[in-house]
Amino acid sequence: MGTIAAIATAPGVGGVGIIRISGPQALASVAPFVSKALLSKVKAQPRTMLGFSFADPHDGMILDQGLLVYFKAPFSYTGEDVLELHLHGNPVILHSILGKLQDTGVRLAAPGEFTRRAFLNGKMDLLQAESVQAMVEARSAEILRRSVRQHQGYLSRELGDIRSRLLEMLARIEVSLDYPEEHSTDSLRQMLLECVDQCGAVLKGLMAGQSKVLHLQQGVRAVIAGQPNAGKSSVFNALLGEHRALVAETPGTTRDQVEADVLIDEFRLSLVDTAGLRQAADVVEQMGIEKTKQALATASVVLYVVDVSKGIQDEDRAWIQRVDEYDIPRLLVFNKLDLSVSTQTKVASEGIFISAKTASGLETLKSRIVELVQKNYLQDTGAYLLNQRQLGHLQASLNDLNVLKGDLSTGHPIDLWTIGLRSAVQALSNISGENVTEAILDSIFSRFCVGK
Amino acid sequence: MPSAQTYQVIVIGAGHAGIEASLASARMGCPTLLLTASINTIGKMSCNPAIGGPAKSHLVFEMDALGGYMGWAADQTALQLKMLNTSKGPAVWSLRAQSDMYAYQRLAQQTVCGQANLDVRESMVLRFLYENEAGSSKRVYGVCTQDGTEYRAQAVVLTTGTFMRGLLHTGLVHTPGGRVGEQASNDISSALRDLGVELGRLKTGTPPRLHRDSINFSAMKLEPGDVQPYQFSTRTEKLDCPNIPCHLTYTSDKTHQIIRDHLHESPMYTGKIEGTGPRYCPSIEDKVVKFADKDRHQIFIEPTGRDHVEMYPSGFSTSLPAEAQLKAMRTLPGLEQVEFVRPGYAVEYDFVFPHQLKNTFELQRVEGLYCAGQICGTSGYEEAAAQGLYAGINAALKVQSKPAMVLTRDSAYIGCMIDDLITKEITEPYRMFTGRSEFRLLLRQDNADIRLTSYGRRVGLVADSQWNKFEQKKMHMQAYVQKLKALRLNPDSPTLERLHVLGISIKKTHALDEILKRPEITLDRLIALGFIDDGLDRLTRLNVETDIKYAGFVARQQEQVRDFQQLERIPLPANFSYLNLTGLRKEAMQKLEKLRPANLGQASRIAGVNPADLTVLMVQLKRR
Repeated sequence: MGTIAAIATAPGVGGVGIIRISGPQALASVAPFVSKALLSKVKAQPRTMLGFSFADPHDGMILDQGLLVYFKAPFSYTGEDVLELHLHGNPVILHSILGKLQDTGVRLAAPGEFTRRAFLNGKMDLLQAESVQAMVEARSAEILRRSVRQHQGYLSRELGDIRSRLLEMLARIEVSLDYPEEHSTDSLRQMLLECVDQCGAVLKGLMAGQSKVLHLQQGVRAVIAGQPNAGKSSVFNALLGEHRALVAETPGTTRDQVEADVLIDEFRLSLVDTAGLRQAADVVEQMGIEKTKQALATASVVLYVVDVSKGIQDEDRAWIQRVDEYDIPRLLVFNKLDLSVSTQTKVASEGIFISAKTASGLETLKSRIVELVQKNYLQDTGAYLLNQRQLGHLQASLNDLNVLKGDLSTGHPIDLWTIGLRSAVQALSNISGENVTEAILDSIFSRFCVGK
Repeated sequence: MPSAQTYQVIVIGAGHAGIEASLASARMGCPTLLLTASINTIGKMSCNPAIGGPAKSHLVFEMDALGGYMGWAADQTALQLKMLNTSKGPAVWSLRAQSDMYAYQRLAQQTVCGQANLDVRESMVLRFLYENEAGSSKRVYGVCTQDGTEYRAQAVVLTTGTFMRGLLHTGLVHTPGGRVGEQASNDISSALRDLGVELGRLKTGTPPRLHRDSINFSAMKLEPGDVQPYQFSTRTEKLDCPNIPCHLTYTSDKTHQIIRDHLHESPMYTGKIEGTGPRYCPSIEDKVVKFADKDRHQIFIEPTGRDHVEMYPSGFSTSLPAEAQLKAMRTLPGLEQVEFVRPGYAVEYDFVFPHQLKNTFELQRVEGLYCAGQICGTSGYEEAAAQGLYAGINAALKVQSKPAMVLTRDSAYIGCMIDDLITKEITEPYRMFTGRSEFRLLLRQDNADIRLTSYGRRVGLVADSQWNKFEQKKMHMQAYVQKLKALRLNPDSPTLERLHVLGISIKKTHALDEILKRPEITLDRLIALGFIDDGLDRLTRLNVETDIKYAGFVARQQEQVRDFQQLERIPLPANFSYLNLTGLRKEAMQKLEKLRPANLGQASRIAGVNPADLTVLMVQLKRR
């Protein structure tokens, strides 16, 4: 396994930011940036906090000073060599140091990868791993509480209901196969078709609600988009509050998107500032724009910022249309109200008019964001909290039912239906870990009178 | 000790399991001893006079491919043969024989007594000869009979059916016995306990037997067999089947009322029987109580011999007092005047929890001792015979120091049954169903020989004649498939006219195998219309047709098999300690320690072991 690194502290600005590095190359990865003396000291003294400076090897410029601590394998969170760099909690600093580490061959950790490694190395069991996941994700608990918790417990009942309906169909078929003298197969095809349709619809509903829940689970992401110089970063800063404003502001140079948590009323959401959307002049900027497109695709809500003095241009229209195609709720934010305003724009357009500079209209913007989130994510959608594993099985089951529908229409004999049906039941059973064959037999013998 | 009393394999019990085990061992070249309480009852059909039916016929076909006995004997002694489920898909086609049970018994007796390398002795086993091995393990090297004789062998196969502490119940009267009129064996139970083998208790029942001349068959529906019957065995040269019919009649409210009135005299409902009965072969009492909403149950009146007065009312298993049985039976149309040859009864017996067996059917902790048949908690002649064959083959292979023959879930119904038995905790008699196999489209009757003949050949049980026939068949089959692919239909008017009869049309040239894939087309129809000759026997044609016609489904199942095999390929060491394994839940830990699965796949099928536990096991295995 390679060596991975990630910022371990929450996105946004804080007092301390920690970069965690795990894997066989953990120590080697920082070697170019710290003194040799320090490195040998670190090696000799695991589990000890040591002061250090992180310097650029080319010009010797110190990027940050902080503390580091080394956990030698297997006595670490992941069971591998782990190095933690405790730095100043500035996203710019953290990202630039992370970038330098990546140049030495360290890979950016995938979500949950530290915990996954801990699990694979026997440091924790699956349940523990899942609870870590849950704790990490609890940052959006305020939001989850309202719509999700009330449904927990109902889900297993709903899935259990579908499973037992499919099982009953399977049992009906099986009983007609194993007791041919006693059970006819008339009307089974029609029954099965109806059952597949109904169960499929319920599963589809569950899946559809899931994308909304995912937004809640992973935190509502409000992505700020717009053309360069529309004032996206100033809107970002204004929403964060001026004391947290620490973002580079040179137009057209924002390579990576900047992300921070913000509390609006009682809702915590991730605010994402993106590169400006325009036909990029160079490759670097083009990459930034690609990232913006990705950010848009995963956004919970989009705040599309327009320079009110310029009004909505053709490029803006194209982008807004794109957001609408993704079916993402959006707000149109007209910024720079402090500059000269074309009254025509003001009259003709729906949207919120603010000045990030003077904070005028900011409260309206905040309440409109909350409204949008509430309307789209917090109303009772009947959705449940599923993890990726459960979601995968749900999808597999749905696929099986779709294939089965095809099988049913082609006039194949009854036994062949059981292949898709069984597979669909198996997928649902994987969620709860039940044994299918036993369940079929139980169903047969509790419902049908058979025997010699 | 005289050398005549030393064998390589000893088989105890000469029911359907014992016959297969002893014949296999002897035919594989091991001097074998078969011990039975009575030579006269070798191969007796204690319950219904039938062999085969869904899933059970699959077992019989598979045994035949391996070089087993049952299929051939069933062909020789069939009163009628019927292929069931022919409209429901090729995988569930099932051949069922109504057997002349007396002829079957005679034939089995002749075969066993005439088999070279096999000695048959009438004797009851008292105890095992064994020595202690490392740990708490034992090694069995022979048996001692009630008359004090010692027989030695490197492997012993125990196939004593329902005879271990057998108790027969008719109404509230109970008598010790393994079968009506036959002595039970109490010694083997205690001998097994001495070896540290864990025993449980089960029950099963059998209906009364009716006198043919007291039945008015004209009031019942006639149920004949197939006019052109299929056969179980590829070794059967000529089928001489008289096609004697069964008859169908029904119970009614009146019947059910009488049964309800007498429930207080039923040993099951008064708690006299402690053993658990099979859900799938319920007594008529069970049916009436548990399925009170059903206003009638069908009862088949089956002949037991070519010219014999005893008739078997299939579906009327009961342990009520004899008078109540008769009173209830006389409410059925055609049975108003019926007389019993013998009332029905229930039998309770000890069985060996099969999770104590390895996948060769040798006990995990008792080297040299194999168990097979009803003693392992199963029900049915076919299940018993298949285990007997499997255990007999593996006992012989062990003696010959050859690698074991292990059949897996994806290779045979037998493999599925073996795997079920060693990974499940048996709480009721185990019966084979097609639904127990998750890969049944691949495990059909029609391809049993293709799947398993080479296994039988490798262990030395498939004779040259069977093998040559098989090789020839395979060649013919391949040639036929080539022909189907090579024959091309052009959309010219004579062809289109012929296709029109089949209800289809083509626009461009198609190979015949492509045409066969269409749902409305069968190979028989193509042959009937002269598109291709009938070159192969019917069952082989079905094999060819299925592989072509359902290629998509076959591919899906093969995909599932590949998924399945991933876990099967990860072995769990025999000495693996599950206790105190970090991350394993307590229930899983205990189950794994108790059942000791051979690989991760088996572990996954143990009730109480969940996916999280499996991941833990996987991690631990990687770390070792």
